[in-house]
Amino acid sequence: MRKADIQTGATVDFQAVGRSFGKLDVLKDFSLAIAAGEFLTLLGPSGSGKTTALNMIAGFLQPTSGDILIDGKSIASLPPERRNVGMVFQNYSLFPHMNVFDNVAFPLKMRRASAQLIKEKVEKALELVHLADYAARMPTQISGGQRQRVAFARAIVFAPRVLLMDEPLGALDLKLREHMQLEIKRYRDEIGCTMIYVTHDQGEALTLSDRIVVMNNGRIVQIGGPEEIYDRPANRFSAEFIGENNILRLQPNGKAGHWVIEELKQPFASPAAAGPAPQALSIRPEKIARLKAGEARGPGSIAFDATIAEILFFGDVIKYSARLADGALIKFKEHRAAATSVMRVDQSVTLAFAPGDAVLLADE
Amino acid sequence: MMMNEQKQARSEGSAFWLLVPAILLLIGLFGYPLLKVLITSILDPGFTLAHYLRILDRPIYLTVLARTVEVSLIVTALCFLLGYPAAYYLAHCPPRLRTYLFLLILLPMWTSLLIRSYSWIVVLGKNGVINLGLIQLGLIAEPLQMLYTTGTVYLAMVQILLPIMILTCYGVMIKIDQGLVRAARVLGASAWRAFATVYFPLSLAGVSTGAVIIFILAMGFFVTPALVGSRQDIMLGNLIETQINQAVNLGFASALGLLLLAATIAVVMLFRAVMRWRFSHASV
Repeated sequence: MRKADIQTGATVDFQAVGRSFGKLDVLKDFSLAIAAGEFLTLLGPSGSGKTTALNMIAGFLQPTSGDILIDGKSIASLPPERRNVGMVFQNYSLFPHMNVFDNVAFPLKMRRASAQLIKEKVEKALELVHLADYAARMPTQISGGQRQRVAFARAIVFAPRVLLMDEPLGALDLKLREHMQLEIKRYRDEIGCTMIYVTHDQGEALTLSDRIVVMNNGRIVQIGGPEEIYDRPANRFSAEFIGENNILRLQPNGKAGHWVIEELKQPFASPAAAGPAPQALSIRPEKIARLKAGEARGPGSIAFDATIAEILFFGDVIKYSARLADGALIKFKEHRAAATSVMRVDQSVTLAFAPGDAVLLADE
Repeated sequence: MMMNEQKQARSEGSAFWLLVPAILLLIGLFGYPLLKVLITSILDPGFTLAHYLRILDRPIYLTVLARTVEVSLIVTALCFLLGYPAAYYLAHCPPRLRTYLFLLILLPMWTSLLIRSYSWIVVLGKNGVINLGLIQLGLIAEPLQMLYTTGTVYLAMVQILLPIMILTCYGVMIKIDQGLVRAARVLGASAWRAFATVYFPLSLAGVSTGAVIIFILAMGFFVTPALVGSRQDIMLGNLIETQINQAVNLGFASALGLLLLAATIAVVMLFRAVMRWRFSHASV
């Protein structure tokens, strides 16, 4: 399918959208402007409201307050079939009584396209997902990964300007998931529509997205590009939810911009940040280095002693969990090329990190 | 692999024994009597086709057979028209309400067919509840003739057979993934088209199971038409009953019984062939 065949993406605007079920607010004051052609991921644990937001774009749910606009026009009064958005579901939702061709042809038939046009477009869509030879198969006769590709072809065959994906890889095993991430990247390069992706898998979010919206308890916690979200979590929730992280508590030291790291009993200084007073800092496991015997710590770096408590061997990477003097655990990892040898449990180590790699966090 | 296959074959073999009691029961209580009926219909006392020729000789038998098929088809269709929406409601209503509704549907099934047929006489008879009520209200002067009409036969048969359609449809509907209907909607189908192209075809398995069971049962009805129908409403079952209890012509009764069985099988097979054709040509 060539880019020229497909309209460009539409903008999607959430304007102070709220949704409650009885007394439960699943989405609160949700405002978000999604650019045309953007790949945006709603990332959060279950119950964070991400699927609710997606279902409101699809038209399965109505907002209890606020408005949603596609290309500047309110879609509040449109039933799902008139919103012209494509959607891929976690459990594929292929029609079991139709073969692959008829499944992909469904949106076109609903739009009363001619048989000739249907044939053309379905073939192109199946080519895009590399399933051209499977048109006559029934959904039960193809694998899980193939089903999800059919679902994808079905969602884009009518050239929607917005494509919604609700945990589309959730039902696949790890290997297939990684492969499908690459596939989705390829699709997005070939079709120009706006893609809104819902997942609780932070790895998927980091790999695929232009922007990530981190959600928790029906609210937006942070919005940013993958690097920004990973490197500069805005708060404790982001820091813990995305990637592995160590959270260390800070006690104010009287002076502005000075604290004591509770677990390490060491001073920590940083130019006083604006906003709410930080209560903790986060430091990524890969930013913590092990000092070899006799090696001097870098100037200004924070060093401390610990005992290896757990070792997870991943082949290329070794993840360690080390116990600090006060009993707390701290995670760090080493690439095997750099590591001289795998350590053993109970071995004493000296660890260090540069204050600049730590991120100050306000509780939220 | 060999080991596995052998193991599997053995477990299938041992599982087969679970079927043995059922098979013995069927052979003893169904296969053998059926064979006996077949023999009775052609040996009286020596080999004869007289009973079958008699069926063809007088039009009454084939006329009654045709009416039996017609009544059964109409009853099946009525059960579908009334039962499908009810089953849909049950499959999509709040679970608490569903429990009570199920009780209401199942309660009549626990009541004897004879009692249910007789109770129509109490309800619809000349001095029945409805007629007396209407007269008391002054809406009618003379009692209405409701009992002993064709309509009442349909009414009574549908009342007896309807729960079967509701239950078989419900059993299939409750398993239909609602996500499929939502997928159809967002992909461009209106609520009605999503139902017609996705939900209904997926629920057809329940409809056809229910329809086949109801049709087969309806073909064998004789108590209800005899109690609430007019003389014109007799079904083949009534003729068979007369041959057994009044004429005591077991040979002819057996021949009529096999005719009923053959007609039932023929219609059911035709129905299934149509359904299969419909499925293989499933299209939006």
